[in-house]
Amino acid sequence: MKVVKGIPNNIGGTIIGRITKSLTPICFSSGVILATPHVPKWVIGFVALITTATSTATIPSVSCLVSNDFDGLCEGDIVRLGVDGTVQILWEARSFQNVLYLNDHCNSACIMCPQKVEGSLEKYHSVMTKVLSLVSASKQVAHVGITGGEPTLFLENLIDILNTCRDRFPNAGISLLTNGKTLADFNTAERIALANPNILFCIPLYAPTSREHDEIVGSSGSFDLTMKGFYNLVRLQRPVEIRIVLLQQNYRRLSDLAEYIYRNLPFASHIALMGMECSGVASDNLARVWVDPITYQQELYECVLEYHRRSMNVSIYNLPFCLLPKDIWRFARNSISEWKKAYLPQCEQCIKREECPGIFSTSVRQSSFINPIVT
Amino acid sequence: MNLTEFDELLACSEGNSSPLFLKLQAKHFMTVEDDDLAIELLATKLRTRKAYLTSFTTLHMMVITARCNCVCDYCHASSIDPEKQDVDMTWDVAKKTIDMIFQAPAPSIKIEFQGGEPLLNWEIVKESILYARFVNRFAKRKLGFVICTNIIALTPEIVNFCKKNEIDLSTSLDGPRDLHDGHRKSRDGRSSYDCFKKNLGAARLGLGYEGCSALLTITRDHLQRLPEVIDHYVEMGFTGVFLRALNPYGYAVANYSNIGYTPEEFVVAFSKALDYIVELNLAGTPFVEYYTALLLQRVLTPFSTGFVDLQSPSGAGISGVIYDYNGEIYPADEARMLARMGDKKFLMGNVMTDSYEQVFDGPVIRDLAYNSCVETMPGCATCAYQLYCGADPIRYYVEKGDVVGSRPDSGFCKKNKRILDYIFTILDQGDERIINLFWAWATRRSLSEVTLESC
Repeated sequence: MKVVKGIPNNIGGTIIGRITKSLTPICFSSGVILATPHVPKWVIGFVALITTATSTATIPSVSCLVSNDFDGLCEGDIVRLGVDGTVQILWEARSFQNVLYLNDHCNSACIMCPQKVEGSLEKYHSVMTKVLSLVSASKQVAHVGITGGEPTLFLENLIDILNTCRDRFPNAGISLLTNGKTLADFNTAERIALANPNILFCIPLYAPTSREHDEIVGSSGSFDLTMKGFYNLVRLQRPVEIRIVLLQQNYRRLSDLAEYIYRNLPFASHIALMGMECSGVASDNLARVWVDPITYQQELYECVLEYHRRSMNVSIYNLPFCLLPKDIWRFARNSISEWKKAYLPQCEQCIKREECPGIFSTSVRQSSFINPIVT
Repeated sequence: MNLTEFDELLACSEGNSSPLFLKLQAKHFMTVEDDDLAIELLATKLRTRKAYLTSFTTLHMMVITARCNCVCDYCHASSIDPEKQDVDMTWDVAKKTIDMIFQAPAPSIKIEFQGGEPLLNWEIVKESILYARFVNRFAKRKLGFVICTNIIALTPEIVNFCKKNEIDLSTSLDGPRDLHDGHRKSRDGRSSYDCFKKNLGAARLGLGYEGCSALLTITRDHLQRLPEVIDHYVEMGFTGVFLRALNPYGYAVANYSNIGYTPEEFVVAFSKALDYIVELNLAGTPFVEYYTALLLQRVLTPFSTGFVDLQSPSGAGISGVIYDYNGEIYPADEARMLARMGDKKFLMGNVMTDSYEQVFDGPVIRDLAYNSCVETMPGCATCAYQLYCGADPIRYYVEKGDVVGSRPDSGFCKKNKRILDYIFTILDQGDERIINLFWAWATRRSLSEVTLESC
């Protein structure tokens, strides 16, 4: 998530609050952080202050913020202030891509994981509960992503968050990013499915056999559990999306995987073919997992065609137009979170720049074939 | 797979990771030890394919009369002169029939009015539809009606009634005028083609183009002229044709020497006609060959297909059933025709005297189901096309005197095997445009919806 930094004053421990930029210097609702370029004389009722100026206020504050970073903060955003002066944006009021991180434990060890799951004891759950309680009730929340780590590992916490989302944002779609393994247990799958009626289960499947899939996810037995998870979800009549990260280990197998999915999981409501984000574990394993997207153009084209012929709903995530054959441009989606999305200097000359999904600013390696499209 | 690859595969120890092994494992042709998941997935795939069994009888055909105003030389139903009114279904029988139909557990029910020519006994058709709709107010099934008619006796009143009650017409067109009139002879000597053409226009005005479909019967005369017939279908505004071979029932038996042909001759003509239709599509005229489309659905997709005549166990009685004008119940049209030819072997019961259980859980339907699973039938069990095929026990009985029959030399088997051979040859040739078209047919979409080319 996006983090900016200023100079800390009087911050004894982390503070979580909702940003307001309104100049009313007195506030009576709790958990509100005033963000203002001009520090007023009196600041009453706020839990903290964020400013581009130097702060003399007695309440906790982060000051001397770069004005670009300050402008990036919006009314209603929920942030966490650290003792070191960091401002972490946990929830963007204007975004449709807000994500709740429930933990950083995982029961898989994917060789291209963009994170580093550390299994820390950090109190993610209480932070996320706090975030949800702070989201302005007047805001219409259309969508919430839930991820981790593996969010289903601490089941009670997940159920609690799902219930809260159901009660507070009854119309919000929930994308639950899970490897599906715990869902192999029908009771677990059922409890999750019943905790919120609007869940889309986003589950990765990287190859059509256990040998290949398990090698990629770094854990034997995963393929079988995930497949059983899919079947439990269809029994529960819940929609599933299949996520396929494209990497060295599977790009030659995409068409066979398409046929496997059609034959065994024809009920999938969406298939996402995803360019890899080279950060975290993936960046450590770069030599092993990296494949320049230009290499798999043909394989990607063919498998998109296979899905399309089968009337399956397919999308391409995280890949810019210049790396895709023109015939499959229409499947490319704007999938990269705004704060992570980037373009290269040469992209300025590209005529497709405005619609382009862009690249990950977080990736340590980019394709060598990112070139402006000029005709 | 060539022989070397096959030998290599056999020589490999467990835990093989050769690309060929992994490909076959993904398709569930091969497996490693103790693969519970593969068994579970295969079971699900089989269940999905056989899903048509769970809803039980969906198609219910009522023979409204055995009379007809035509004497087609291939008539399977051996139509009877219009003056003999004792072969009409009476209201008592019609009402009892509909009562029985609604005892079927199927969530969706289609009632098809057949003959003879059902319009010659229009009052009973009309009353049956009104009564069925009344019963359905409580039964709440997805209810549809089709009238199989030559539309010669179509009147504005009938069109209006069909429009109001959302009834489809299934009619017959045998191609250009000379072919049509040559085989579909009206009893009064007038051109049945002219009458068809005029009334088709009237029917389409009321019911739309989708509301009137046409069926082609292929005789010896047609074999060399199928492209011409197809052109005629296109010209008349139809969007597809079912290239259907003659069946050995009714008048078709007596006239076989004039109108019949061998399965081999049929498949040669079929293949050429299919090529012709493919070309039409690629040149921009959307037109479906429905039998190929059905087989492609089975070859290319994992889903169940509801085609009564090619199921395993046979769809006879299970998917479709026919109620004769006198209330007698048969598992298929062919069984009814056989009865008319004097053999009542497949009589399941009578709506006037028997209960639903006696009829649909009786010896006839059980015997047919037991003996029509291609998965276990000698010859079929080891056939590569078994998955796409089905059994036709009544036809086997007609040809061989036995419901299991001897399929490898039956016309049914020869025809299907060769047609599938041809479809696989085309798939194997891998012309992307044709494969796109085949996917369009298999998924019931237009060619443009399947192709990727950016416009």
